[in-house]
Parts: sequence; structure tokens; C-alpha cells
Amino acid sequence: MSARDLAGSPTCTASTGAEIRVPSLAALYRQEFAFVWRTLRYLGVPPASVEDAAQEVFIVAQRRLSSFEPARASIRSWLFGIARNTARHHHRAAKRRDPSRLGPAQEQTADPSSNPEVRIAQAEAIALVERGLAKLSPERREVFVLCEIEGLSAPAVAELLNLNVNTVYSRLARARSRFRATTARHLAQERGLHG
Amino acid sequence: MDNSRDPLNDDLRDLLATYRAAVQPPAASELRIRESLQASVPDWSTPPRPADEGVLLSFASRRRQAVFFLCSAAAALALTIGLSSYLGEQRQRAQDDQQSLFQRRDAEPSQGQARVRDEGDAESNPGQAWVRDAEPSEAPGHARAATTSTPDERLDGAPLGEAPPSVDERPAHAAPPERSEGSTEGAASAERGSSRATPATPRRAAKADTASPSPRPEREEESAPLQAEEPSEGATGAASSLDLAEELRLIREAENHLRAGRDAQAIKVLNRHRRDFPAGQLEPEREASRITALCQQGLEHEASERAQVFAGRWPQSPLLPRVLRVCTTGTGL
Repeated sequence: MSARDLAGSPTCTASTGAEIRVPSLAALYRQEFAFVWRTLRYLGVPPASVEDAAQEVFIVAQRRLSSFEPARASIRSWLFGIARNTARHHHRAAKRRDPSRLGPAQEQTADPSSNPEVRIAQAEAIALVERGLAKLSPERREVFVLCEIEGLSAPAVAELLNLNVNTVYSRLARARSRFRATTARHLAQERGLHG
Repeated sequence: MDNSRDPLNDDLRDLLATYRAAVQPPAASELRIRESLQASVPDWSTPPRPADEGVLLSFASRRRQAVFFLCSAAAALALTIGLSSYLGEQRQRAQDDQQSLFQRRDAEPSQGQARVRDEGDAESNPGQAWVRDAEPSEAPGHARAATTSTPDERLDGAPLGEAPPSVDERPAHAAPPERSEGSTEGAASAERGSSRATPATPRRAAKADTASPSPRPEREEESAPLQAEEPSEGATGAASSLDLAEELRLIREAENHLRAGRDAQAIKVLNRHRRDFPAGQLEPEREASRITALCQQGLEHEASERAQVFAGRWPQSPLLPRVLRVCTTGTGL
């Protein structure tokens, strides 16, 4: 999958805060559940806790939906804020329970019925990427995942995170550098191992 | 590679794309959460109420808030203005009432005197207790007063030393001739008592004007400079108006008691006024009423002493003629 594919993904186009009306929780869930789920994963929620965390995000969203002002922020930006808080909470809770679970997840792939090779590749990708993400600070990680994984533009990320665009560029550049430094090395090692 | 502006290379991009596909939510998880939310959220598929209003109505709601705020401010302003004018009106009315009250009391002795002179007797009294003083066969007032009122009630009045008095003339004011004047006062009070339930009529007011030649304008303004302890100067208009209304109520109550011959009750009310408003705006009226009560109790001596103090404190008070005449101590005008 190329970068062009990512940029053209529905997630990207739907991210610019075009929603004007506050949707019902059902509509919100239908539109944004996958985004919330991935976001929780990006922000370090362990795979075993993602389901609980996602449910918690939508419960909080339902409670606050009546106070959401579409004129001030996009629904996705608003939801991202809730997901971020929930991820922090789960991160702290997991740390208290079992610090050893904070490492890269031994992830089951999304589609158990898919090709075993694909599943292996996905498991490797999860291990590598999450190891690289774990080295980033929370602020840089947010910018990095939204730009490089979700494929959003820097202005869209700035709007989503309520940041200055230059700040987004700056954080993105540092995050890329850091991610490259850690992940490329592991990637080369694995390639060498398998090659 | 070292340039941080460089985008990620293709290997890393592919890696991230694979990762994104790998962390998609399982369909089973989505279904479980959906069912759980549907069970726990009653308005699962209905948008929240503000959602129907959208962007435009959010501005509209702000405008409504602003209009509501302005309306509240305007209402508060109008209420304040209305209240202050109402209180001012109350104050003015209270002063007018007080003025007419004491004008009536001042006028009545003259009427009584005239009637006594014309008719030559006081037989038409309706039987007020204190009016019996006027009858010639009645015992001297001192003795009767000592039996009808307790010493506390009589001596509980304001101290005489409130203002520098001259008490040297005390024996002169206690002279016997005041009995005849007492009878006229009694007659006047009797006449007053017979019609005490009716308010002052215009005819009576006209009589008051003709019977008492002394002018009565701006009594409060005249006596104000002499009352150095006047507390209402620094008070707000509203508070002083309310205080004035309460003062007036007490004074009128005392006057009603006096008119009905209940001297002890009158003195109790006057004591309450003195306790609540030690330097109230109606202090001269209180003192005048007390002097009247003392006279009615037969304590002419003390009444005349107080009348002298009154004359020293409020020499220009329109109440002064009445105060000096009430026991007709010979020092009256």
C-alpha cells in the first residue's frame, strides 16, 4: 500500500470537520468506531484493553454529546480528545496492574481468516511500529500517527489537535526522525534475519 | 536520512500501512460494543437536542442569551428606579402623615378650649379614664397617677440630661393653677376621644390652621441641625425611609394609646421607640408624646421639666407650643 492510497482513504477525507450537525450516538459509532479503535491502539492501549477502552470512549461521548458545539471543533477532533484521555487512563491503570504488559503487544491480527503469511507480516508490523511509537513522546506520537498512519494533512492535524500548523510540522519532523532511527534498524535486522 | 524534513522511505510507509490494516477493529468487537451501548444508552439513535439546532442556532442561542441578559439588566434597573422612587414616596407620605398627625394634636386643645369657653362645662365627655381629671371633684392628679401606673413606666423615660436643661424653674411650673388648664385639656381630649376613630377631616384641618397661628413649615428641617446625633444622615434613603415608617408607626401607636387614655401602654410604646431609635428622626415627637403622657398621668412636675428640656433642645420645633401648653405650666406661649 502506497502513501497515495493512504492519503485517499475515507478516513482522511472525513477528517476535516465537515460535520455540522451533532449526530446521534449510533451514527457517531458507525462513522468513527474504527478511528477510535485505531487511535486507542496508536496511543498505546494494550490490545486486551482496547475493547473496553473503545466502549468507554463512546459512553463518555454519549454523555457529553449534548454539549458538543460543531461550530468550534469537528466531531472527530472532539472524539480524539476523549480517546486520548481514555488511553491515558488505561495506560495508568495497566501500569498499576502489570507493568510488564506495557511492551509491544503480541497481537492477534484483525482478520483471523486471512492468509497466514499476511497475518505474520501484520504481527511483525505491529511489533515494529509499536516499538517505534513507544519511543516517541505523547505529543509527537499523536502528530506522527495522524499524519503518517491516518494520512491526514498537517493543517488537518493542527485543527484536530488544536495546534499551530508550524508546531505540527516541527513535531512531525522530530517524530519521523526518531521513528526512522529506531524502526529502520529493527527492520534491517529482521530483513537480514529473514534474508 | 538525517534530514528530518525528509518523508519516510517506502519501506517504512509500507510498514505503517500494514500496521494500520492490522489494527482495524475486529467485527466481533464492534458488534459486542454496539450491543452493549444499545442496551445501556436509551437514546442511542436519536440525536441530542442541541444537535437539531446546528451552527446557526448556536449563534442564535448566544444571541438569545445576550437578549436575556440585557432584559434582565433593564428589569433590574427599572426595579431599582421604581423601588427608590417608591421609597421616596413612602418617606414623603410618612412625613406628611406625621405632620398632619401632630398638626391635629396641636389644633385640638384650641378647639377644646373654645368649646369649654362656649359651653362652660365638660359634661359631654364620653367617659375616657384620664378625662376624669377634668372633673372638679376628682382627686389631685399626682395621687391618681401613682396608683394607675407603675413607677417603672413613669420613670422609664428618656433621661432629662440629654440636653443641657435648666431645672431651676421647677417649683414655678408645678403651681396649682394648672388644674384649670388641665380641665380644658381634658375637655379637648374628650372631644378628641369621641371622634378618634375618624381621620382628620378638612374642617378640622381648617380649624387647626386658624386656631394655632404659629406657622408649621419644614418642622423637620428646622430641628435637624439641633439633633447632632441624627443617625439617618449617613444612612441610605431606603433604610431611612423604612426606619421612618417604623418610627411613625410607633409614634402613632403611642398617640392612639394616649387618645384612648392608656398612658401606660403609650409609655411602653414610646420606650420601645427610644430603644429602637435612640436618635431617631421622630425624637421630638416621641418626647412630646411622652410629655403628654406624663401630664395625663398627673405627673405635671416631671412633664414640665421635660418640656423645658424640650424647649432647650428644639427651640424652633413646631411641637414646642403644644409641649409647653400640654400641662400649661405657665411657661407656655
